[in-house]
Amino acid sequence: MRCEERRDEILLYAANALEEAERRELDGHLGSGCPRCAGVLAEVHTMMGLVPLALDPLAPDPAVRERLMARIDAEPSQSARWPTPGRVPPSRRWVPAAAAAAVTFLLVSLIFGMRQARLETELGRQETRIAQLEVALEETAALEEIVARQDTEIQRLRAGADRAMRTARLLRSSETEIVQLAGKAAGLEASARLMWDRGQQVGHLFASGLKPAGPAKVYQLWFITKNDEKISAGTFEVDPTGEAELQMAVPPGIGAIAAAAVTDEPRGGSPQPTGSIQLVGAVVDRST
Amino acid sequence: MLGFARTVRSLPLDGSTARLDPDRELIEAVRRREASALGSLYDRYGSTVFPVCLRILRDRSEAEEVLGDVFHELWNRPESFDPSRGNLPAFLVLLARSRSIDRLRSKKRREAVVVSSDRESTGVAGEPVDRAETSPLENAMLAQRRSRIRAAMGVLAPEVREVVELAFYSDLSHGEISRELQQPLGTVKGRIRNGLIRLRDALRTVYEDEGIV
Repeated sequence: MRCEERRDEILLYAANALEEAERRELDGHLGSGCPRCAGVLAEVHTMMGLVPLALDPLAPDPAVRERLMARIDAEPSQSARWPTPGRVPPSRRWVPAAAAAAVTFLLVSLIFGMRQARLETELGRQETRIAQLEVALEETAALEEIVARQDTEIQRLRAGADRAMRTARLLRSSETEIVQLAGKAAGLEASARLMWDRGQQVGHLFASGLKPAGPAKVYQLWFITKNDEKISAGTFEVDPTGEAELQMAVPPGIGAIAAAAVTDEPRGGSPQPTGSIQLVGAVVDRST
Repeated sequence: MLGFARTVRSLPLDGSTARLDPDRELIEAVRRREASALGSLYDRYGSTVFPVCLRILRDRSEAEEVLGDVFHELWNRPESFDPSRGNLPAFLVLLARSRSIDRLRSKKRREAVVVSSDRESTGVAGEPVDRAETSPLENAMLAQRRSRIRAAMGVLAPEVREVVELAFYSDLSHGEISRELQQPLGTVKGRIRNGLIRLRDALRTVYEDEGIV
């Protein structure tokens, strides 16, 4: 049982209203020195101490006070002076052994009692310090988690920045070709734009409006040459908004590209298209 | 979480309580064996503790004996009062309750316990308390505290309050309370449990508002 769940149990414990087994269990827990439950018990004692304060005050007989103070005055005072060192008068040389032993026992008990009180105070301080350190540890763990999340976000932003830079280079290059792909199936609103730099042999695909490829499936981009060869340019999946990006290296020696297409293929891709065409677009022949 | 951490960091490392304790100096003096300090504490709380003894023992002379024993015990064992576990009046009334029940059991006395939720005193004629040792302001504050505590007790349904008061002011076990009130044991236990929980919630505002630890 967690300490937070013990609040009601401690209340009944203080009122002696627990079953025997429950009382023994809680006795053991309180005996372990749990500071939180000890604090709850202190609060309960304060509450129970308030109940009799609802009673009207009543003055006892004044003789009660007189008897109490007389009782105290009759007890030996601890502030009595010790015999001064030096020559002991003959009448005081003889001390009953039992009385000396009793005094010694009281002194030892007093010393041990004071030491125990100091140790208990120190223990209380240490327990408070431990509680503070536990809280600091929890804070540190929370901060580490925040730092980890921020690291992940930084990596994501860097990746996005890298993609943006590569796209910008493609757009600036005079050797970049652009192909617009449109949805092949009727009613399909998907489209894509493919850019590739003939000189750098790198390309970039931006797609949108695509539905998820389906279980165990993936989209695959194809370069189609003038000889109707289908050369894979890589696979991709769409995000929840239906958008996708793909960066690829254009295979060397591919020659002139006549068109590009996107098909759905088994996960991992296929050496040749096997699925249905989702997007297709032709390269504009500028020689004409 | 960070706000809680700041609160914990503000705790004094020497373990001292964060609130002022009006009885602290007198307790320290008792620890130094200054009899006059005990006399002052008796003057301050004797008339608060005495009704508890009287309510349980129903015998004035025995209640006065237990009252003296309680303060004598404080004199001989001042270290038994731990300020971190509650304030001094709460400690004294709980000690008085415990010693009164011990006395009751030792004499094997079982008087018919009549509990009236309408009765505000112990039902035994007592002298008005001469509060000369406290100021008019303190008297007014103590009266207000009594009123607030009674109001908190009034939150309980009569049948619940009856059981709670029996549990507090008598040495009867749950089974004996059950037989005394002719109620099923489960009902008695449930009323004690629910009554104490409600009482705790109702009294919390009292000791928080008054700065009682």
